[in-house]
Amino acid sequence: MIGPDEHIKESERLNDLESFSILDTLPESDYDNLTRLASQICNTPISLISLIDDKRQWFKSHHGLEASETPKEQAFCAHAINDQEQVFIIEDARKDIRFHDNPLVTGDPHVIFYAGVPLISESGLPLGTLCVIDNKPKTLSQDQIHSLNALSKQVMNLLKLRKNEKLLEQSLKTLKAKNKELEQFTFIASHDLQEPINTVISLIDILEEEPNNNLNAIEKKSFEYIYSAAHRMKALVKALLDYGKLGERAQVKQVDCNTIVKNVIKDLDALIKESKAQITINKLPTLYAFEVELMFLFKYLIINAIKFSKPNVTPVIKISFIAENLNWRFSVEDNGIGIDEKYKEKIFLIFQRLHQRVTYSGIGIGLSHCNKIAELHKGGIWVDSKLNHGSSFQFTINKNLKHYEKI
Amino acid sequence: MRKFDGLDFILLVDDDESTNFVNNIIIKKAEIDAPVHVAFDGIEALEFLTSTGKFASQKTLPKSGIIFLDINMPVMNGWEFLEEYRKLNSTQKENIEIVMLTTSLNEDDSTRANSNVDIKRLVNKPLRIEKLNKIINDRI
Repeated sequence: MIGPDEHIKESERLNDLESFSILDTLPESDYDNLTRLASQICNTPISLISLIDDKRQWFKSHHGLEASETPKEQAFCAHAINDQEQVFIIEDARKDIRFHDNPLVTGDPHVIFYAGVPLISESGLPLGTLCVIDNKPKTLSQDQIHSLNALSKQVMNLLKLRKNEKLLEQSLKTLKAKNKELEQFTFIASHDLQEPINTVISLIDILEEEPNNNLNAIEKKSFEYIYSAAHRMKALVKALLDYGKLGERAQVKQVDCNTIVKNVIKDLDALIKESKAQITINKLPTLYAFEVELMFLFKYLIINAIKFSKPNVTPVIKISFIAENLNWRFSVEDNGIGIDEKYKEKIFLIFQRLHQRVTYSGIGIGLSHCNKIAELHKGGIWVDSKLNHGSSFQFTINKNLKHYEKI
Repeated sequence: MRKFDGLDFILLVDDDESTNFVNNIIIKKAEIDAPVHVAFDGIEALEFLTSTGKFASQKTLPKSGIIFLDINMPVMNGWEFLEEYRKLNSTQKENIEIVMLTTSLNEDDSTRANSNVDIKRLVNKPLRIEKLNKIINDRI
């Protein structure tokens, strides 16, 4: 008997095989179906999917054979993977110097005929074979060889699919863990940050109420700045906390956008009257969405449209939608000051502001909230605008949110 | 108060009013005698350097001084200002030193600042008397 040579790239090959984490897994019908087919087509009692590691050949599927592995020195498949041909055929092992005294030939299961097609990975390395075995001499027709080749490709496809599925599963698990971690982080950080700020604010209040505080101008001004800085910090921390919590416990349900927008308009009554804004609302759809979040989205975009109106020009706002193939696309258009092309993406980032605080107040969180809400709805948000020529904020909501699964 | 040759101005570029207030006091406490100007964003800083807009009443172009530049500002941020600053006449800028003030030593910001020839140094906020003195002493 002549044992198999080591593959020329054995260590790479073993790494590749390990990456499929297939060895010693339970039998699966997908693989068993392929060996049964191979047996049938080649008219042999035995067919195997054999994977070769450093010591043994292990069978992912063994049709017509009890054993689930054999030592590598005796393995026909270990020869087959070193063969450059598409298929490695031994028509009568008793007459072959490499195999004639092999225990698998002389004893059970009496391998006389062997044909094996290497299972080649994407990196071009053979992991094992799909083989057929008979206990009498045999030849295969071109058709049979062709089919055996096709089946080996299917085995490889199953292995690849399995590997990708594992990878995906792993990434999803990591993603979920990271998301959880991030949520926790925002929550803890914001909560713990609020404490000292509140203390600072309370202490300033106490000092201000002291009856005999002879503060000079600089001291007074300093207190004012400490006070406003602490309040700004408090607002920022709260915004961060809200941002982190957005959609955390929300549930998707069927909502009527007409009702949502009507309620938003009612909430904003004072602001709308004061600004004399004219708002037209087209008929809107009923859809699956996160109700509270969607309400915030409409509310914020309307407030935004009023806030960034041109001085001495009546704000005119139009709310409409288009049903696209996969999404509902909403738009909130205004005749306000518009946005420079180069800031179109920046405005959706957290704590980014385009204007000096004295010109337009705010801490720069609103549109990043909107962005997160759109993402929550598996959609997006963007703006079409020209400086001084109004803005059209558009956002999409995925039509298939009913079966939403949170990551 | 100490007057320094070649220090005709200090320009504070920051959108936060209280930061400018504090920096102003630091400069006074360091006993540095130089006119201090405030710009709330990059545009106003450019207006100062070109004697336009908010600074149209300046009779000459500022040529010799220190600019303390914040990065994150609305309207025109620190990086955008630097892009415009590069286009200014180089003879005007010979004696102007830009000190970038950062809130945290952000890796990205410092790499970006180090590769910008117009930034003389990067200083972590808040500005303090010792830091300011070092900048002034290095200048002499």
